[in-house]
Amino acid sequence: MGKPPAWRIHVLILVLPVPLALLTAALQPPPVEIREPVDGVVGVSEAATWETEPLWIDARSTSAYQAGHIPGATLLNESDWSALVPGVLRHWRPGRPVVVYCGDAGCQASEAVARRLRELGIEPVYVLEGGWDSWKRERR
Amino acid sequence: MKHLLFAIPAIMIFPAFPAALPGTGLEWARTHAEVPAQPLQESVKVAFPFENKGNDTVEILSIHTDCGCTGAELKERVIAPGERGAIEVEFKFEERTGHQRKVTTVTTDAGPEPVLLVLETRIPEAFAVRPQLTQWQPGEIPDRREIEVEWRHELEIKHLKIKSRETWLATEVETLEPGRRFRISLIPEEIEGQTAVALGVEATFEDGRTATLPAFILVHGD
Repeated sequence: MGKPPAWRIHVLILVLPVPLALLTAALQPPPVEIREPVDGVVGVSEAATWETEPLWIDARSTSAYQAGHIPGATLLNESDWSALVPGVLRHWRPGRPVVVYCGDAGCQASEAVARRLRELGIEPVYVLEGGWDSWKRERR
Repeated sequence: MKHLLFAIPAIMIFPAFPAALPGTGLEWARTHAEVPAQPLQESVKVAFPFENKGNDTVEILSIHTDCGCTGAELKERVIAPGERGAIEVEFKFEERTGHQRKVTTVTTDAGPEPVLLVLETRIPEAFAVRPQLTQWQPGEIPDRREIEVEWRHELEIKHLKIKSRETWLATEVETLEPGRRFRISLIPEEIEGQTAVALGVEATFEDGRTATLPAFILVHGD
């Protein structure tokens, strides 16, 4: 038996991996549908249509909260996080939506408080679009 | 073509001069500062320098911060032409973590448009408490649960203790990796109704500093 010609070896190198590749492809799990993450923002009018009354969280300062807030809202800000979280937990039950708001459309506190509530494992948590200003406008 | 040759250097030079912001009469060295924060750090202080490059005196009428955690200081409110100054903004972290953006609004008598001074930082957790919230679901008999404390920075934790006033909840601390990892066991007694508390996980570091993070406990009512 003589040595096979070089071109045959090259063809073998190219062809041999094909069945292996086909087998790997066949064993691949079906592609997972990737969905856009929910942005977690809700408007006043939309929240009003929910079947379950949301747990309203006021992320403003204590003085702003005392000056006026959404009826039934619980105060929770990052300045006094440890002391205020238990007050929220006492009113929350699994599945009850939580809506966090701060002063107006430009404030950042509601986003930060919503993020930290999600980190605790509470869900679903939403941020109220337009905050307290929007609530006052729409509920007037 | 000649015009174009003159225009090119002008375009290149123009951005090198910070523009006076609309209506202030003051030229600010920066209006946005992104500062790093270290674990155990309690606050950051940032200066926003300015210069009055106009021909008229400028008075700073108001400085408003968007958070009670932020304070702004200014030595002189009236700025003569050619005079320099700075507004120093201090942000106290308190119990905040993660990305933070604090805005200070400055108004002057030079015009109606305010200047926004933005301070951004990312506050790292002093140490990690996982899970942050331990729950016993409705109807569940409260059994023993565990939480872990982890610290991955230079200093070691010398001592870890739990601050709690809850008589219905016993706690035990066990060291998993000296100075770095600990396990806290929570042993509740039977209780009635929905109960939520915060335990204080207090770490004392080698250099004597202390930091306390909360571990939240929730027992759902039926």
